Amino acid sequence: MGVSLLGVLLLISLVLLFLTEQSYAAFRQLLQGIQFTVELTDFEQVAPQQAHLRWIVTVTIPNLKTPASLELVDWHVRSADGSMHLGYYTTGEIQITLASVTKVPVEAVIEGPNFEELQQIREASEGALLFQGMARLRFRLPRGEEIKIIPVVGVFTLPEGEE
Amino acid sequence: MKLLRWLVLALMAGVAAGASSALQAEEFLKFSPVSSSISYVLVALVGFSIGLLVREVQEGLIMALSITLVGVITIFLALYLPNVEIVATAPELILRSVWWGGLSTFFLTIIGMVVGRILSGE
Repeated sequence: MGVSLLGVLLLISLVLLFLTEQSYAAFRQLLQGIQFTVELTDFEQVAPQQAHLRWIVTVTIPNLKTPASLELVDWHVRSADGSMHLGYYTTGEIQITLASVTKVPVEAVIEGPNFEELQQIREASEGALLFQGMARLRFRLPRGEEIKIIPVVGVFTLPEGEE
Repeated sequence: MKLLRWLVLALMAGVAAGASSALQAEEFLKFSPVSSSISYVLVALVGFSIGLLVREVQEGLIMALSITLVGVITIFLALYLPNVEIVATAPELILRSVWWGGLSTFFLTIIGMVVGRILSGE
């Protein structure tokens, strides 16, 4: 009986380990395949001292089989060289369910002293701006949740001729 | 117990205990199809099955040590192979799991063996 039981236990444990390793390897591969792109879709001066910017952050996760959600937190708009800070924004508690390709709209209103700095940047460095943010990704795994924080960076140029 | 049979049993039991123990390693815990308590039960059952086969205390103790040794190698390989590039820069990440896995394998095997000896009525 002892040998038979040992044989069954060996089989069960090896099958469980194999399944676990497969799941683990698939998740690591998934993490390596995550890509973020940031694209400015709209720039509009809505008042003399106020501009409205809209971006689309595209999250691409090939072969996404694990349920996942995303939060864009702690993101900043700066001049391309990082010397001027135009504002700090957050999307708050919004969680977006992720698919293989997910487009997340992000918008910001730049006004007051930040708007003046934005004007200086447009004049001095051809309107190149830097979008820096952190994406908090939550993956629902077979036993619990895995949270990964991934930096998101995008450089974009403001359209010319719009004031 | 003949040497060859003894070695085969130690190898089978060590791999089974190590594979079960690796399931509750920090790296794999969230990916395992079973909970950590089930993996501990599996290790104890390995000890139980060996407890039905050994006859003397000394023999059981040597078997437990052999199972732990083979188990530690199994845990190490199970954690190392999918994490080769991480281990190269931070080996301590898996060494902690290997150490804890070896310790729990040894004591759970002993406990399982004692239960096996008691239930076998010897």
